This record gives sequence, C-alpha cells and structure tokens, in this order.
Amino acid sequence: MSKDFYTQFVLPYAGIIIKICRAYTDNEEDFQDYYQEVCLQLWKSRENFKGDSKWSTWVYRISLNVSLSLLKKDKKVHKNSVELPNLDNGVQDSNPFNDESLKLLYIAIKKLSELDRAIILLYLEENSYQEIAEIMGLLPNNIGVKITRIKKKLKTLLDGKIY
Amino acid sequence: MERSIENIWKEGFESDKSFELPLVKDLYTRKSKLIIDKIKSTSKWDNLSLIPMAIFLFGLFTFLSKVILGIYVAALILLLFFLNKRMMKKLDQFDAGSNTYQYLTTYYTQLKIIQKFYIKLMAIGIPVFIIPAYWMYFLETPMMIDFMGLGIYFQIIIVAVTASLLSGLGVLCYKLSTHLVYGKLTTRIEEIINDMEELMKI
Repeated sequence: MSKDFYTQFVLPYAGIIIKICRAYTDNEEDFQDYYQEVCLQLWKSRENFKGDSKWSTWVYRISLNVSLSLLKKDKKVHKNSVELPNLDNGVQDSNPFNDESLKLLYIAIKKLSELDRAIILLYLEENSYQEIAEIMGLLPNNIGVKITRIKKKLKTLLDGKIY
Repeated sequence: MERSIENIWKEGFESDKSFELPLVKDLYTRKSKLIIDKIKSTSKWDNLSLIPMAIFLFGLFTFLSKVILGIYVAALILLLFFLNKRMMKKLDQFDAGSNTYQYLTTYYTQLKIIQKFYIKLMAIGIPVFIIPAYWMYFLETPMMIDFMGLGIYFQIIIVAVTASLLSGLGVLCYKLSTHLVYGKLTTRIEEIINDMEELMKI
C-alpha cells in the first residue's frame, strides 16, 4: 500500500475502521489483524470505487464486510476450541477506552447479533437511514424499526450492567 | 441524569485521547502461520493414516493366505510413512523467524520440490514395487501359468504396458489426492505471496 494512499484515503477514516473493528473483536491481536485487513482491502478495492457514493460510505462497507467475513473464519477456527470462562460476570473488558460508559456500551454492542451490531454502529456514526440501507443492502423503511429495537436491547443490557 | 447511547458514543470518543492508530505492519504473519500450521497438521494426519492402512492390508492378505504379500505391502506402506515423516521434518527446519515473505516463498518452493519428488516416486516407484506384488499375488495361478507360457516379447510388452498404466494411475491418484487435501491451502499461500509481491511493487 502506498504511503500516499494510506495518508489520503485511510488515515482520515481510521476512526471508522477502528470503531467497527473494535465491535467485532475481543482482543488486541485480533483487532490489529482486522484493522490491517480492512486497510489492505481498501487498497485492493480502490479501483472498484466508482464515486457513486461518498468515500466514507465505501470505508464503512469494506470495514463491515471484512469484519464479518473474518469473524466467520475465526468462528470456524475456534469452533472446536474450549472457551475460557468469563471471570467478570459476563463483562469482557478488552477495549482500551478511558470512558467507562463507552466501555460498557461496546460490551453491550458485542452482545448483539452481527447484523444488529453493524446497524447500530452505522446509526451511532450518524449515518442516515438511507445511507445505512445503502451500506447494508437493506430497505430504508425497515431500518428505523430495527434501530428502535436494537436501542431497546442495548438499554436493557446497560441497565442490567450487561450479563 | 442518564445519558443516551448516542451521547455516550459521541462524548466517549471525543474525550478519548488514548485512541492510538494501529500500525500497518506484518500484514500476513498470522494468516500465513495459520495456513502453514494447517498444512502441517493435515500432512501429519494424512501420514498417520498409512499405519492403519498397512495393518489392514497385512490382515487382508493374511486372510487370503498371502502372508508374504501382506508383509511386502505393509513394509512398502511403512517405508512410505517413514519417508513422509522425513520430508515433513525437512519442511520444519525453516527459520520461522525470517520475514513472512521469505518464510512463505521458501516453504512454498520446498513444498513444490517435495511434490515433484513424489510425482517421480509414483511414476517410477509404483510400477517397480507393485509389479513384484502382482507376481506374488498371481503366483501359481492359471493366469500366471498362461503368462509364463507366452513368448518373451509378449511378456515384456505385457509388463511394460502394465507398468505404464500403473505409473500413470499412480501419478494421477497422487495429483488428485494432493489437490483435494492440500489444493485450497496451497492456493491461499500463492494468493498471499502474490498480494505481498504486488504490495512491494508500489
């Protein structure tokens, strides 16, 4: 990947990539892998970007697609492995955020299904329903209902301090 | 007052100054390691499966009152087992500490050398070792008596044709089984090497 491409097309959008990758990974090593894979895929797919949408929309789409496909692969790899017991009453503290509420919110987001996670991340990033639908390949009128349900789920998890 | 999730998200990221960007480096290290580990474990189990096969064939030929043939076939398979083991050890000797690209290309080249060696072994070894097994199997049968009654040229032609067929079949079986068991894994190594080479060009 050229330095110019990274500086111009990845770095300004790194926040998006980081926020999405954090929502799909449980440890720093996986997070680094996901982040790097997204960067690589952005570079590899640069010629497929036709300019019909904003570059940020493209970044969201690639980040989500890469995260979901890596998650699928990782699940296959760890399918037969023994999961370690959760020592913190269901709360996994692997995100490096200073803000305790944000940390909890991330933990709650990780409790959602993969699709719900994607939708709520796009919503929290202030994408319009139309943009979310475009990125996810869904119908815009379904998005609003879906978001209300996800927010309700998140609220329940946060009120119960997640379990 | 309770904060909404929208505010938690917005304010949380605004106040977070410890938000460090990950470094883009060693892009393929973990991925390559996973593929190579998979090849190692597949070939280990692939090779171990030769032992029950040797036992089964020894039992089968003993049951058919062809004990010598049973011992011969089992010995051949065990020989192949030890040969495979030696080859796998050779693959393990690479310096995993070298950079990913170097490690992958060396591993891939060695894998291809080993595959070429086995293709030659199948092409030459199968007829050389299987024709004596046929001889042992058909010894003193009417078929062998008929064969011995043929002229020397006919005998040579029959042996040569059988050897060629066995050789072709051996190579075909090897290529097919290698493709089925290791095809996807070697393709992934090729893809990674190509990606890395493309990255280096820029």
